[in-house]
Amino acid sequence: MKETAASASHSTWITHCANAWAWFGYAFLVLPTLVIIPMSFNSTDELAFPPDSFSLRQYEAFFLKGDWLSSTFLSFKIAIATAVLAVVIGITAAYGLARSSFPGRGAIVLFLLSPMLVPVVVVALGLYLYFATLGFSGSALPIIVGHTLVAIPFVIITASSALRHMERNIESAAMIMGASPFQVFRKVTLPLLRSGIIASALFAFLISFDEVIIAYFVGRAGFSTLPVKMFSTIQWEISPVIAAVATLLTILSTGICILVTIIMDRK
Amino acid sequence: MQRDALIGEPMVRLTGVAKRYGGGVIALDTLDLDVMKGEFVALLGPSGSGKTTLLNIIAGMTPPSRGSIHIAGDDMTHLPPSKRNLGMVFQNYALLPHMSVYENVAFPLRVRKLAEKDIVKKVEAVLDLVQLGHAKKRLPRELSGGQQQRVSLARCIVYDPSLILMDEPLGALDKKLREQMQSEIKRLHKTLGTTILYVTHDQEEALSMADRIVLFHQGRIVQQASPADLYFKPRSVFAANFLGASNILSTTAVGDGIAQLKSGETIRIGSGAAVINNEPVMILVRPECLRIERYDETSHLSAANSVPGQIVSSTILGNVTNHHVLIADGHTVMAQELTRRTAHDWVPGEQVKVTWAAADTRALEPDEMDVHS
Repeated sequence: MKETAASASHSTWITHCANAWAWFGYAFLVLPTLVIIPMSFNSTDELAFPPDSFSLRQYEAFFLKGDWLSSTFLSFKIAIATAVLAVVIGITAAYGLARSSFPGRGAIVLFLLSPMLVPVVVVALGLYLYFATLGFSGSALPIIVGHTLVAIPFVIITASSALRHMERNIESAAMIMGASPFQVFRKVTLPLLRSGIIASALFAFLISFDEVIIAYFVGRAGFSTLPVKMFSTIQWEISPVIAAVATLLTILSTGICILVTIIMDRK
Repeated sequence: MQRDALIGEPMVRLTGVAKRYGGGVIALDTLDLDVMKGEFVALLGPSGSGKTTLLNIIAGMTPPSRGSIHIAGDDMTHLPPSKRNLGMVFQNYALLPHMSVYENVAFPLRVRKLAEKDIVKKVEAVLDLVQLGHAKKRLPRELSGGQQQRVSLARCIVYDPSLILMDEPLGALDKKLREQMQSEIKRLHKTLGTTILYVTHDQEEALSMADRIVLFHQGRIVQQASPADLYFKPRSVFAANFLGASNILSTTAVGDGIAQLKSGETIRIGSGAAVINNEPVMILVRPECLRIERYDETSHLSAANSVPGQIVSSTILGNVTNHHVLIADGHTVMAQELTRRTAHDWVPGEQVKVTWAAADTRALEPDEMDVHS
């Protein structure tokens, strides 16, 4: 009896230590990001911490000066297109994989998830060479294709878990009640997968919006997404506008992640 | 046979249906089965005996390896589930979780593209029939297990399918609710005259509900009969053991209708399989047919079988009392009698004799013989 009590308190102690360590690691990783936020409200033309004054100059510059806004719009367009494409391809693939078994199924799963396993630089280089030969200059298509490729595995993983949690008998029951395969998909499967679909669409959007390597490799002149624009700006000058952009991006990402959590929890 | 007594053509006719999986696994050996219109047939057997496989084959969820399925006279063997006009009740209800009770019941009518006013009328009628008229706006997860299963019943009967398949529909409910739902299902069956195929592994459920029980073992039908016939006239050791409690004695046949225990007592056989002289034969006596008498008492049963033994234990289980008796050949048998205040108290170790009538003695086929039957 004594022994178990001792070992229980021992394990709580270990748990506390592990928790403290995890929080420390988390703070270490996140604080540098949060430092950007006060920096973005600085009025001087330098990136400085702590900020010596407060102003919205950098935000004004983002919205009014230069081509920051056009890059932002491009990023939005690409991210929305990516989300739509990745969801349509990913959901149908996940459905097909979950509801059938055939030889080579494992190989197909591995193939579909491979963009997650291969370093992004390799994917980016491959796409660069591919589109250099095909020539799609003057369009955002190469970036969309690249981002879709990278987002599909995440959609498949999210949708597969939603499909696994769904009672298989429900679809059988609908079929026996007289629903055609299409009716079953539209009236039963799709509504039941709705939160999974929305969550994976938001994920795909975020992946595309944040992605810099592929966009940098295959984006032609006039097709700089927001992260690429930030990256190239920082090469020439350390502009405090970067801090403002980074702050806005952080808010967007956090917002989307919270939204995904709420949607997934609602079930 | 009993099914010849029923009028009309079979609602379901299975001919030579078999299901084999890769690697030589036989889920269902070649079988024929007719189900008459309005009949309530229970498919009974231990898990893995093929009864659920057969239900899935009839529903169209699993294609048979061989054989044909006719429902209401039409060949359904190659039709998808949606074209078979069947109803199915699942153990886990399988209600559409994102739809209200009303919408769940309306679903089969909507996919059949009925007019809205007909849908309203039919749905309201069946919800009243299953006493859920008050709950039509609720979501399935807001209902109890019994209520959910009633919704699933309503969802079946609303489109008047030619046949309702039930796959262990009460398996997830507790005992009291299960009994309540059993009588509810029987009531619906009587009122509507629906044909029902009911899969269960619960022998009491099958005995109390079905017109006919089809007993499955290892992918084949070992016997099909009315509940009473299956109980009193089981063909094999498996059938005798699966339904009810049974005492099975190993004997050797010594003449026409006469067998002998290892310890020498002769036993008259009342019915059952033909016996061959000097061959071993298994004999069934139900516990409630055994009587325990004082060792020196003269038996008052005519043509009685009588074997000496020794009381091992007596247990009162409420309205019945079970006596375990070690008989002369070394086996322990169970005798069951109604519990009475005036009954003799048998003491463990007491010398007794166990007697029973020849009519209650049945020769069984050993299970191996089922292969060829």
